[in-house]
Amino acid sequence: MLSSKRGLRKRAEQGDRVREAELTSSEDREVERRLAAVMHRFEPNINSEQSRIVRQRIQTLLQSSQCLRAILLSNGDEPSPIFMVEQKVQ
Amino acid sequence: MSQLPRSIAFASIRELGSMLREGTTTPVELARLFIDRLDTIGRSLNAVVVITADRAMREAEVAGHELAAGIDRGPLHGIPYGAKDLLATTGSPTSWGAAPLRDRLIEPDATAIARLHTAGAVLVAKLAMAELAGGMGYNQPNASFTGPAKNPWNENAWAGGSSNGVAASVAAGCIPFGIGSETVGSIINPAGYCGVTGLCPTYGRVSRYGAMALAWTLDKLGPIARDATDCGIVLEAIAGRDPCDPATLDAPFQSVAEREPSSGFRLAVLRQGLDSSQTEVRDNFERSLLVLSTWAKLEEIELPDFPYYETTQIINRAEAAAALEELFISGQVQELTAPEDRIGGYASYTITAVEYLRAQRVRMKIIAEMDRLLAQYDGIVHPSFNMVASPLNMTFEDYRGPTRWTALASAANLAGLPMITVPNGFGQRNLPTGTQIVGRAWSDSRILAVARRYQRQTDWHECHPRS
Repeated sequence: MLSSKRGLRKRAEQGDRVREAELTSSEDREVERRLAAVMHRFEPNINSEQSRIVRQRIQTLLQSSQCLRAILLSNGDEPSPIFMVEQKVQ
Repeated sequence: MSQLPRSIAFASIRELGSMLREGTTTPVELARLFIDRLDTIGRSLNAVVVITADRAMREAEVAGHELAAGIDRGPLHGIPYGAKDLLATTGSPTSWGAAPLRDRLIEPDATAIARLHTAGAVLVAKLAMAELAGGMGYNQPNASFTGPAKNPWNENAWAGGSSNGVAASVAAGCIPFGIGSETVGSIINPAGYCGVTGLCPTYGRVSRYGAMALAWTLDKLGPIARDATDCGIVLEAIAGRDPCDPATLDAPFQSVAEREPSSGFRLAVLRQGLDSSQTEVRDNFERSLLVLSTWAKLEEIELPDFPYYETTQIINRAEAAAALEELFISGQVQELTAPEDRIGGYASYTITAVEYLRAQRVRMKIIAEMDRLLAQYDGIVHPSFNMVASPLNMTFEDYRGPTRWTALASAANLAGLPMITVPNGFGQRNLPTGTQIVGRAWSDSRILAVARRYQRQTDWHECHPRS
């Protein structure tokens, strides 16, 4: 059922310590795209030193997200329910 | 100052209840005792946000009159308690531990507070917490406008997070019990670090109405108290369906109903990650297993292979960014205490809807596998944490590495499973260690029964700090 890619998982477990050198160029471009989106929205609140930390955190989240891609899901695999219709007694 | 002896400060809810009914003390005397201790010891530990003295005296006087008139609301009648400062309470500010929100009033009372009021309990204080329940990714103890929460066993150590004011206050004899919250680890961690008993109930057991939302699909409220029996008493008072919290179910819960199964308890032992634990944590856990093995059948297990940490991280961060969006838009996050919290949440805005939903789909598989595993056992036992509390002057990453939660903590919180931590000894720097028991969903009373049995044979929960 699972095809957990342990390499990816281990990398994500390294959290904020993951170094830029470990990113592929396409991952790196994706991190830059996402950082640009954050800066576009919140730039007045984030200085250049802080943007470096935001970049690291984006990188960590992106790697966690990629790690989840190692789990095989089929079309019918629904997300954990976050919406329920209230049952009303008539 | 109160004239009651110090030993009363460490009495259980049952013992205090007996004293009230025997007439050897009154609710007003108890409220004064615990307010005195909060004002001195509690404040010195940075555990207190505000002492609700006026409300406490009103509630205590009513409880005293009722008990004298033979009106008995049950085991919490006249018992003082504290609440993590993310629970709304009429008449006093609710800060969520965050400097920019320190004067904000939220009304009415949260459902848990209202239910404790109905049970006759007396609210004496709003207690400190990591700002925004740690939702911005704090990395060191000084992450609240009340200052770093100090551990009563060693004031150079942290009290844990995020429900640190409640855990430290219970451990220091400043309250008999308190209400904390857990998204991932925020009851089990501080209760374990402070050597008290903390119960994180099944998701949906206790209404979160009036509590700060950090991650709607992960947030739970639960008691921190002297022992498992007291945790059960408090849970019984606050549990139950609430139309204001659509996640709650009308699942019956009685604190003392669960008895040992006729075939005895069957517990799964998880040693995963033990090799990276401190020696004392490992040794105390092995000693706990020896106690458990005298009346439970123990079997070693491994968790199913899933990216628990990563799944938790995506869901938690995405929901926190949405729940706290107003603080980002207003720029108020820049006023938070911990520098890393001022920028910690921005990255979460880059999680896509597809990524979030993928995490929720993986979560469904985790829920199914954890249920399949736990259907065979009364609980999984594991150390509550693999290291004792960190020094106050050290970052968490430097102390314990980059991974914030254990696999079991992530798995149990993703699946909404009930968990309890019980103290099991001491480790480095005179700091407590703990064992946790994780149960199948809705088996809160079963894990309480296991914990009660363990605490009948051990006295770690009766150890108290000297000061």
